[in-house]
Amino acid sequence: MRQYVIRRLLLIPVTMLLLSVVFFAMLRAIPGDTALAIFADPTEVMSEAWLIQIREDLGLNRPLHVQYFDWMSHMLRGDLGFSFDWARPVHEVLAGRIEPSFQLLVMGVVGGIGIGVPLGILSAYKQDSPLDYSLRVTAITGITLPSFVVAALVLIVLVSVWEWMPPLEFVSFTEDPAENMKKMIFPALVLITHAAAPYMRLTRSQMLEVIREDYIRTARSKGLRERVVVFRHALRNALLPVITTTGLSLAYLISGTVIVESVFEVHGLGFAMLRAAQTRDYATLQSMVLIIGALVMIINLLTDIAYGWIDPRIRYS
Amino acid sequence: MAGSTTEMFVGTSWQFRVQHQFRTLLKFVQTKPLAAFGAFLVIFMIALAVFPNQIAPHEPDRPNLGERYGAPNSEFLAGTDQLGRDVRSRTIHGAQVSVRIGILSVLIGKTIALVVGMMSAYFGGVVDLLVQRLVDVLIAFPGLILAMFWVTLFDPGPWTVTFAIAVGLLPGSVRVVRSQVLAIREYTYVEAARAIGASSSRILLRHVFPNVTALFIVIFSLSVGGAIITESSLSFLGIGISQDIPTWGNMVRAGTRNLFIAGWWLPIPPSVALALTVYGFNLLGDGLRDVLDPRLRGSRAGGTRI
Repeated sequence: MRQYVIRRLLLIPVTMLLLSVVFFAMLRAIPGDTALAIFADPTEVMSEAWLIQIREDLGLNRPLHVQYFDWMSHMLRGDLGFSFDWARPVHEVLAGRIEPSFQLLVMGVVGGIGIGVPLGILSAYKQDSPLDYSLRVTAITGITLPSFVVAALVLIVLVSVWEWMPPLEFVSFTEDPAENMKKMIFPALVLITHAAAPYMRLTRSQMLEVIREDYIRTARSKGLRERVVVFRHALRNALLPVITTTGLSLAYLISGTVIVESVFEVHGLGFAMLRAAQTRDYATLQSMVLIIGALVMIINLLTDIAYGWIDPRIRYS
Repeated sequence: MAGSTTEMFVGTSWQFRVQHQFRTLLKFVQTKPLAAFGAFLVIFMIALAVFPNQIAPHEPDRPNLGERYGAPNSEFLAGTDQLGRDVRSRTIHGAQVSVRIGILSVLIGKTIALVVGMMSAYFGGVVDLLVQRLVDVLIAFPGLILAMFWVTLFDPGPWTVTFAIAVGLLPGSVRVVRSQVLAIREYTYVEAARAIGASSSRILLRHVFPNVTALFIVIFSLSVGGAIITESSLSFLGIGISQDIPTWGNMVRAGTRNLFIAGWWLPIPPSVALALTVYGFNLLGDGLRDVLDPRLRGSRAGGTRI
């Protein structure tokens, strides 16, 4: 187990290195002039002297490998570059935006598991009842509807029924929990509906599979109470795949966060990323892509370790 | 009377064939009603995408400033938008972009994935190692984030969006195809082909490829829904298809922006069309998977979801 974790940990920097090369190559593969692409504004005619100055400032006139190593060494020292759009270093732009995005992700995952898993158990326990069917149809609808449609529907209900918009200002949860929730509950609700549906379906199918196992029959024939059989014996085994899905669902929730933040104007990382994409602010964009890549890899590693820890039958080699 | 006998024979054979096919179709509808419903939705949406001008009652782009934010009525069944354009006609025209980009991007992405996955598994060694590390890198990314990054690198337009979505679709299927080919490579008939001196390209094309076509069809149909969601999400975020072109994502975007002014129903018709299309492709894909490759049941087979 320890060897496996060490090997996986060693693989992360290697994969990150490959990732950085791929994205550096992609950025430099932009057709045409990078300087022109960055400041592409059709209404403004750039003088040649200006362009030379920009190339000089960005270091674009140096050989590619020098540019790459320079960029890498800055990244390794925690210097993510300079954002032209905000006229500030990238890490300053990102620092204040981590909190709302992190809160949304946590609420999405916790809410998704908190709602999806119990409903899944209920649906499996009442298999083929009207309740089961209606829960399954709801889950499929939740999977089919894109998050921006759910977000739009939430907005429609808020605006046309209650004539109310979530407040535009973000207040930290530690400062004023009530005000913070007023702003965050609706974007989080969209993420939760999205996360809950796959959790519900997975829990249901796993429960149905586990409930047919011999040890469940043994537990029942021993005369254990139904509640003990369901929660102690069945659920513990059914929940194993649910844990591995958490890593995957986080990756999906990250793209959901971008959409939800743009609809509800939460000024988090997703909002910054969308703006960077719209203004072609490459320094911000590529830092965010690398950060998301590292984040997803670490989460995947953690879920793998958690899986081996919870289920002693699994041995990594 | 030789001529009439032949005619009669051809006639009955033709009738028999139609009857036979009709019976097969009926059986499919009976055993897989959901998949048949999905197929119906998909065919309906493709019809909208191919013949929007014939089906739409009004021109999608003609503004009518006297009818701004018109409520649904007998002439404009889904109401009119902020410029007085008919929402129903715009929704019908929206199918064109979404369905075309959805199908094309999946076709491009999955074909590349099929070729790369086959080569990676069949040749193994350094090629396999490099490809798998690249897949490791790309699989970490949510498709939408990758597409956002890619879209901003190139000139905006439908082809950029198509390729951006295709890149996001690559990694998952490379892995699925690879594992399938790794198994096929060990089969006796591949060994036999190699023993009689068939070249690698011949083995790949004549012996390996036919065995992954079912998998390919399943992966294809399961991925189109996700690709359509990515396309409309990009449009909704304002970095996809140009805002002047009616697409479902663009219409929902415009609708939610004007929520406070009037017309709360504006985002609903395109949302419903989008949901039905995605639902149709997913149902059809699930049905095809059960028929063509039951081993894949329960997995999304590289399908994406946002």
